[in-house]
Formats: sequence, structure tokens, C-alpha cells
Amino acid sequence: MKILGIESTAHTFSIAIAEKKNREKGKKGEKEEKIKILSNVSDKYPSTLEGYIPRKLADHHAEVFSKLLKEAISKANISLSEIDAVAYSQGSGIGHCLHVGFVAAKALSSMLDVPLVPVNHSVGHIEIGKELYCKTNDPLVVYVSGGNTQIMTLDKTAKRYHVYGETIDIGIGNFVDVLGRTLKLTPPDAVGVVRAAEKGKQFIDLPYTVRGMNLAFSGLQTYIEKKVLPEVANGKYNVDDVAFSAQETAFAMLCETVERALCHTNKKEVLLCGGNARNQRLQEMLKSMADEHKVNFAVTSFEHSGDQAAMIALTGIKMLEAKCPDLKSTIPRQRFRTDASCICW
Amino acid sequence: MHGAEAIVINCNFLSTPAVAKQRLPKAYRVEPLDSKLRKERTKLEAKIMHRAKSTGTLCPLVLNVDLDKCELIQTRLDGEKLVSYLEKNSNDADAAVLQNAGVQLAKLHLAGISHGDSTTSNFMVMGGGAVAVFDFGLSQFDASLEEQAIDLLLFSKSVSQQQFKHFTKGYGKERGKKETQKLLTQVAEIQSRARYVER
Repeated sequence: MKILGIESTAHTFSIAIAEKKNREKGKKGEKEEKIKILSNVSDKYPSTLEGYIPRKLADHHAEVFSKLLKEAISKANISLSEIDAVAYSQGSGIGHCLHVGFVAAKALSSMLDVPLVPVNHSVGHIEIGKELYCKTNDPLVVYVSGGNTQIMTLDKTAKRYHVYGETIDIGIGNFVDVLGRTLKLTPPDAVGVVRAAEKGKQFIDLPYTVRGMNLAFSGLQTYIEKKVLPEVANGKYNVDDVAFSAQETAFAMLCETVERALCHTNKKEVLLCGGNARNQRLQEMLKSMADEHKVNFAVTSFEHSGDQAAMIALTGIKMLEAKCPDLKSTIPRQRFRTDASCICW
Repeated sequence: MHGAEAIVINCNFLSTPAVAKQRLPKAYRVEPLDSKLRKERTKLEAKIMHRAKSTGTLCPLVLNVDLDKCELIQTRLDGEKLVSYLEKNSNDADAAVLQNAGVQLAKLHLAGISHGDSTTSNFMVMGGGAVAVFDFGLSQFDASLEEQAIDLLLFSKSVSQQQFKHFTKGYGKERGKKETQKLLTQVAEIQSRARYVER
């Protein structure tokens, strides 16, 4: 089975093609073929000091669609007629962006006369991590991105992810992105914060908000804007120290809640996935925590951490094979929670 | 026991059966943040356990505080954790015990304390169905509507709907119907604030 995936929940538009070979007849008991990613091409709208404006993102996605489709097909070295299904990112995400992906996927599936597979974006991030990077099939999942920060495990009876802890206000990625803009770093996002944090030395005491397994970041953000920035202006601190301290504080909060969830659930593996899984300091901290508890630490690769369509195509295959009941409703869902998705494979 | 935040060791303190809770350094945190969190939490936890007694909350007694070692020695609770008790027992036996747990959380709230980690792992079922509350590692001197509601929410997430009903019955006995209803409304309010809830 070959499936084309489309991702367009936020700043990135991406198209990928994944394949799962059918098991040969008479070869029972052999390990099931892994899903292969044949191509995975993306185009990200650049971050600016004005932040992301939904309409501009949607325009960008519409414009790059044809270019990316050609690239994805040629890199996979197949023809469009070989596609057996089209999967797209159904949500959660920004309405304008989701609709570009939806219309493109719907048009392709109608034209090729193949099924349209609606995939929960967050589940995509998790499934690609489990399929390609995990040692066990039942990790404690730490999903960190702009919109989400969730700690969860798969509840096999309920066929749902069970969220043990999450952010009660903004995602950790959103926090570092806004910090990048507030401090006017280059680039004005999480990457700028990482670069500045590497140069920071002095640790500034910041609010630390953990409630059981839940987290909050907005107080940290407000405190930096109202109390720390004036001190930067009068020369007491420099922006590198602010970036360093903010990152250390926010990540320590996350590590603490993950550690608590790990002790609570007794899982043997921690999977870090989502856009902010790229942060090497966060990887290092979680690995140190996992080592202390003698569990395996898995993390998605740089390419498969951020938003991309490989995870959508891969999850689409799993949903199709399992005849997932979620296949019925295909229109975009802006507020599609991770734990609202049926995990029946 | 090696918990998430600390190790808890059985010991004797002046020939009283006790447990020592030590907050060990975490390698993943930068040193200034690590020592601040460990010291502040140890100190606060001792103060909170002391205050909890003012309304007769059933919880361990503080025996000794060592801030250099970030160690808190407290009396040992003899019993079974509510989480494992609920796994073993039938529904009828649960009801009384869950009500007692509700009473204890209400007493704690009346003392002006929010527990902060009020799951079934942190209640101990003792002889005769009495229930004690423990582990004040995330507790605060803050019994605002929001913090109290969070405690109820945390508990509700660790039990079934039926079990939570028993719990709130006991809680209501101690707090009164009006106050309890106000808190349950706040619990629903908090849940509606979660990210991406479909409205």
C-alpha cells in the first residue's frame, strides 16, 4: 500500500509518501514489514517578529502545494496513479491552514478515486516516534510542540491516549517562540532562544509552576516581560542569561512532571516527540532523568520531530489497515485533542 | 522507596517508627534551581504538615527537619495506599473509605491548605477504615477556590465516576453542600479551560 500524506496544521506545508509492503503469502510468523517513508518534503513559512498570521500562512500553503507535490512524487520515484489513499492532517490546528490541506487532499482523493484518511496531527507525531524510534511499543509519551505539551500513555482498553499531565495554558513551544520575539532574537523563535541560551551564564530566579503532573507557562512569560526585561534594559542582565534561565526553568518543570508520570505509570521507556523534541538541552535533561530511573529514552530525529507529512502518511496506513472508526468524519477539526482520537491498531 | 521527587526510607526516630523523606539532587536541573527547589519544598512541607493538624487532619507528624540534607523525618503511617486498596476491594467496602478520604481533604482545605497532588496514591487506608492523607510535597498555603477545585479534579482523575461520588459525599459532610457545589462547578470550569476542548 502506498499512501500520500499532507500536513498543514500551522506554519509548515508538507507532502510525503509512505509505503507498507504486503506480507508475502506462505511466510507466516515472519516479522511484519515496517512502514517505509519514500519521500517527505516540506516548506515552512519563516518566523518573523509579527508572529504567524493565519491568512498569510494559508496563502503560503496554497502557493507551495504544486511544487511540493511534484517533488514528493519524483523523490519517491512513483507515479501519482500508484497512490492507494490520501491522508491529511485533520487537526488540531489553525482553521485557515487546515482547510488548504483538506481541500488539496480531498481533490486528490476524488481525482484518483481513493479513500481520504483524516489523521489527528498529534497522534501522527507519536506514531512516527513509536514506529521508527522506540524499543518498546508502550512508552510514556512526552509530546512537546507550539500548541501542545502533553504527557501520556496508550490506554489499550479505551483505545485512546490517556493524558496524565499537560499544559493548562500555553504549549512549551509557544512559550519559547514568544520569548524569542520578546527578546528580539535571531531568528525570533525557539531556535533563537537555543542559540542565546548557549551563551547564557547567570541563572535568574523565575516563577516555577508545576501542579502535580500539569504545567503552566504563561506566568513565566508575563514575569519575564514585566519584571526581567526592565532589568535587561538597565544592564543588570543580558538577553542570553534570560534565554538560558527561561529554558532551564521551563524544561526543569517539564522534566519534573514527566518524572512524576514515569513513577506513576511504571513504563520502561520515555518517548520525546513533537517540534520541540529537537531541543538538545531538553533531550539531555530527559535522558538524564530516564537514566536515573533505568528506563530507555527515545527521541524522534530532527526531520521527524517538526511538523511534516511522513507522520501523517504513516498514521494513515495504520488507520486504514485497522479500519479505524475515525475514518468516517473527514472534515477538519480545529480543536481535535490527542485523546479524542481512536487508537485501534 | 524511590519516588519521583524524593526517596522515602523507614527508620526509627527516638524509638518512634518513622520515615525519612530525602530530596536528592537532580542531575537534570541547574544547581541554583535544584537546591532552591529542594530546600524550599522541604521547609514548606514541614510547615504545612504542622498547620494541617489545626483542623484535625489525619496525617503524619513532623519529627525532624534537616535543611542541609533536605530531609524531613515524620511518623510512619501503618496501612495500605488507597490506590491498591481500591484495586482489591469490592464496591461496598470502597464507599466508606472513599467518604473518609473526602472528609480528610475537606479538613485540609479548612486549614487553608491545598494538597497539590491529591491522587489515590497519597491517601493511606488504616485500621478500621480510617484514612490519612500524606505527601505534602506539592502543597501550598493557598485554599483559594481554584486550588481547592484542582485538588478535587486531581482526585477525580484517579478514580471512577462512582468512586468520586462517594468521595464528594464525605467531602460535603465536612464542608457543607453549598461550598462543595461551588467547588464542583469550578472543577467543570477548569476542565473546560483545557486545550482544544471541543465546545
